[in-house]
Amino acid sequence: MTPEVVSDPVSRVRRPPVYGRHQFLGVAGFIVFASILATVLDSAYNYGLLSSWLTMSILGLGFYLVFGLGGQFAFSQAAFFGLGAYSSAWASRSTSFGWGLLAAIVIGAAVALLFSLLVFRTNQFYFAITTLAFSQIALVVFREFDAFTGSGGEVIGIRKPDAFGYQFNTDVRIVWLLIGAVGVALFLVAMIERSPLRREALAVHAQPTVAATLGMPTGRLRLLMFVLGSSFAAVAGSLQAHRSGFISTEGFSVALAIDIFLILLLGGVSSMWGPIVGAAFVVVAPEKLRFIGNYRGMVYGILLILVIVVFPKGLVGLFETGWNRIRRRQSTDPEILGDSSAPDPSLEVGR
Amino acid sequence: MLSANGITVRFGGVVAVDNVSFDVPDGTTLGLIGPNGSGKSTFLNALTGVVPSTGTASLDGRRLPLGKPRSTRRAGLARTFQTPQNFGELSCIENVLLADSDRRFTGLTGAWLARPSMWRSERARWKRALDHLELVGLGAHAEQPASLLSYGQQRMLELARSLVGTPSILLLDEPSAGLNATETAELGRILLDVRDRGLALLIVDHKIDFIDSLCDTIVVLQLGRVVASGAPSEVWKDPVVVEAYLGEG
Amino acid sequence: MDRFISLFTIGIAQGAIIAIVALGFLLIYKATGVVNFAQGDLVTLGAYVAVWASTERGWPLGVAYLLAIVVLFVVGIVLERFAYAPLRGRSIHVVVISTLGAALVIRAIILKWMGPTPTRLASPLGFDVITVGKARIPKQNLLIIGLTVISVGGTMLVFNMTQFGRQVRALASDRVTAMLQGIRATRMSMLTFGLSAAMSALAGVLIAPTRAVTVDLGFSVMLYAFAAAILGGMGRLGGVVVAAIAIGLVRQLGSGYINADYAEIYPFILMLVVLAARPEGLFGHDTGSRL
Repeated sequence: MTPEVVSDPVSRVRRPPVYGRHQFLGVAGFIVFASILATVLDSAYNYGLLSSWLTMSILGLGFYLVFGLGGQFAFSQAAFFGLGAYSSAWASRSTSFGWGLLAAIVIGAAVALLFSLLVFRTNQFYFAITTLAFSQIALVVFREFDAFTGSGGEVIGIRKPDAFGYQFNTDVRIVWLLIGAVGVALFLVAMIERSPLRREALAVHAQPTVAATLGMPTGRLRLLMFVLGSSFAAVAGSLQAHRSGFISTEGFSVALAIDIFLILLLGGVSSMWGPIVGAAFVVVAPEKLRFIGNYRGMVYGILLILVIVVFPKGLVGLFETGWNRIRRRQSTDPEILGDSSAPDPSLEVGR
Repeated sequence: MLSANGITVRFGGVVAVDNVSFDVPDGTTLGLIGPNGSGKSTFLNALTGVVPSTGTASLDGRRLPLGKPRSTRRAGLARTFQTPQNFGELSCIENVLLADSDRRFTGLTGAWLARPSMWRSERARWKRALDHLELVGLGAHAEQPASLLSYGQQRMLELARSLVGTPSILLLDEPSAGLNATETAELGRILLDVRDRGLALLIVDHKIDFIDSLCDTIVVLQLGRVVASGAPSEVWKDPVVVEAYLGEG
Repeated sequence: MDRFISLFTIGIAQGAIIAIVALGFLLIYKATGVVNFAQGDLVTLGAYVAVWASTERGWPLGVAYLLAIVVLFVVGIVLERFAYAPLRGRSIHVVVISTLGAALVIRAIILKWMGPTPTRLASPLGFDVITVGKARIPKQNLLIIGLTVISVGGTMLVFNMTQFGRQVRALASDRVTAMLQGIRATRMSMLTFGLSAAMSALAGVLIAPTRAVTVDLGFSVMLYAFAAAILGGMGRLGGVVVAAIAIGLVRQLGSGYINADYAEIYPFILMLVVLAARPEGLFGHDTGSRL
């Protein structure tokens, strides 16, 4: 801690933490990767898988904001997915896809705001259970409120997406639309990651009382993360509705909410790339691995338990740990080796 | 100047802090001592709004809103905790950045719409944070996760974090606990330095030497009540205090 | 009036089942601090064990009921060993997620074992009804109420009068101190998981004759039980029982007098409204934060 700090590898602080760019590079990399997939793959089946992966990625990214950054145990993500789908189908009936999407965002955000204002002061487990109750209420409303959702919660013939006169009316065109949408979603999240908002959300999530004594608006931050994440879900719902042309309440049950937990936890709860990786697993694994397809519930359940017991940082965390190990092995700098004797932060468990 | 007036905290039927009043003028240090369970920490928690309490408190003549930690902090009252409460998964500098009183562009606007402005204010915050880390001797650890620091360093990090928001009074809850002699001396030096810049300090601690060397006034609590107060030399002559401390064992 | 009597008894009977599940849930919560999201699937499993014993084996209903309760007691202990014991001391978030995983596994096992086709469990009283005025009340409802009074009363006695109850209460008020004073936490948590699962089984066999038995049987009961536990403030058992009965009544009376299509959600709306006004529940008290 004397002036010779320059030789210390950890002291090379040249700019504020919000300046790093690797997230933005990652977004670009993701778009390239997805575009290659969209070009290489060619069957309707594969386009379907790709589209599901992209839709679930948006849903998972939203949940990353709510649970990963915001630390809020919410089962409502599936319900907001449904709300977005129904709102979009309803608003686009006599207008266009654009209005539907807008309606999904506005209605999703407004309902999320109202809900979280209503149960604002409850503690985290009460909050979790109120989100479960909210999901049940939403499902019943979808099923019964015919003027909004169609008879029995089934809507058919939802128009295909379009933008500025361009029709996304084939499977591959929809894939491109979804790549764009995930790109935008990732970009928005990356901007949050590279801003003070990330650290503020994590602090409020870790120790709300301490955060408040530092002068942080803890309630407002919690609210913000919940509303943002729920709006992401609503956007995903809108895209899902217009992609498939058909929605029913089946697709928005609590089972989906639990899948979303798995997406985030398996992928990695502490990284924005977690939900992308997790969504790929949840969408592709049951299709490609017969065993998983047949024993889906069992495999998912055991995976949930395994993930939090054995690798709480998820697949992304595993990659990172592996990568760091390789880098350390290559380096012969004694100071860095000395530094690595400190406890590995990735072994720090739970929150 | 901090004035506390008739601060009282009740937990169920137990009165943990009973009608405690005193002033801490700017540029002075007040030591709050007393046996375990005498209500020292509870008193700090009451002032910072972490536990519900009655009474009034004011800072530089302005009334402090009791029970509202955030407003209290913004009014200029900062604190540290009995066990360091840092955010382990954030880096040291991020821990300090959190507490900066300039909160412009820290929200969604800064993240999405006004990034250049966000960068600008962030650069200023970052410089201040780094200065404060240097002040407590943690400049070299800025980018390290706070969870990797030693216990003593955790305390120093918390100190930097509480100073960065330019408070007018700093409340320290057993700042020397768990520090070795060198670290305690270093802490004392920093605190004197801080006081000389005009801050008021309110220190709860068990180390008598540490308190004596720093404080202009000492207030002794027992069972939630003030039983003695005054300059250190007077207080230690007070038979009630002697008895309380001998009774403590 | 007849309609009211009929709705009222059904409401009480449903509330009674919710009360059993809620007490089972609270037992685990108090002894270990865990919010067990597998509670609903334990109810379902209990019902299915009874279905299996009575329809596939042809055993008498009484035996089927007992078997369900015994089997679930064991399942509860297994659950504790696999989904909770390895995680003791970890953050509560982690444990809750683990119970979610356990719920998925139990559900998948039921589906593999008994298939997705809805089935039925007979009531030991058949379709007998009692007539009060013109209201026809199925005797099953009276059986439910009767058994609930016995089991809830028993739970309260155990909780307040026995060594076991004292230890659970000690764990609930201060885990660390309780364990330092020699309460054997491992045995206690196995026992509470077992008892709680056995209570779920009782609820399962009681509710099964009143509706189709599917793999979703326990889920809505669990949600109502959560709501009851919250409304009761996770605190006094009596408060939770009152809240459970209130939920059963609100659901039935709402269904009868407001709009039956939305019957499922009246209790949840009640819960949200109460929580908006009193975030700590009706009979709860703010525990404050610890630093």
